[in-house]
Amino acid sequence: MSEAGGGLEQLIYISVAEGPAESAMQMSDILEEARPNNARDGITGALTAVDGRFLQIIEGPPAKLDDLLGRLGKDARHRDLDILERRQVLGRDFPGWDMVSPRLMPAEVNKLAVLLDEDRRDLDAYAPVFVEALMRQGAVLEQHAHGSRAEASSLAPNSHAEE
Amino acid sequence: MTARILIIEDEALVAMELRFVLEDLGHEVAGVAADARTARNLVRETDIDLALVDIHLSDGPTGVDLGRDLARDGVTVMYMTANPGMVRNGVPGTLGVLSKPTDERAVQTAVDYALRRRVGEPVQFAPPELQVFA
Repeated sequence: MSEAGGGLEQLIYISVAEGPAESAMQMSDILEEARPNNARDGITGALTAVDGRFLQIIEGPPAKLDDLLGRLGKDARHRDLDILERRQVLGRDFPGWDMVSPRLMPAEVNKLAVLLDEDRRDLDAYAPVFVEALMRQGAVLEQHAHGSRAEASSLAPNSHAEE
Repeated sequence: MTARILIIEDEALVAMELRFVLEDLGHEVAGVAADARTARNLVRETDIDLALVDIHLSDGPTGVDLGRDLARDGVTVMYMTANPGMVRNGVPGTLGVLSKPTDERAVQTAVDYALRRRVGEPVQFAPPELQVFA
């Protein structure tokens, strides 16, 4: 048990997107809405889409995850939500990200698609793909910052989760 | 027609995608700001033709007033938000609002339309995704 004795859990779910969902821009409303709620609830995670399906990892206090699942169940932007795995963890894979949508390379999208085709349900198979994409992305974001303080401030992950 | 464009967006990945889309069109992205103060400083320091302004920024729902001020400074302002209701009645001096979620093609056509309007080119039809204020 960590996180002030309340425990920390992580889960991954898959659902069927009701609209186009290939880019962060196409998911920008979801990302924008999720952040203030997640920051308040101590939830962090990552969201992406593979072949018209949302794949999302969320982590946080168990009760808050239950609340979020309740809201997700009513969200008309997707259907057929299926929790692949839910487990207790000691630490977060996405500290500092209220919700992030990594820009995946085609090879990474393929990797996730294969895992889904194989009916894999374990977080340990999926999470590293997200984490690696985010690490690579951090470098791209910095490259594009041209050393400008303005941009650096906009591109750093949010600090809510640590507050 | 190429332009100097400022992206005001606190979602880092969305900002990055916007940058790629705009650079593919041949535009210069003059900066990315995640909050109103940074955006105002950038506009003070450099010439900007067009600003894409998210309404909810890292310092709160500051985009509405920010857009109004930038328009007063001669910048063409197009809001991009998941909450278009906040500017439903229009904001003086600004061009319009593009609702999120959006995609690459909608951004391209809306930016093209905004820049044509800026230089006074006659444009008959606004792209359907863009709600034009005036």
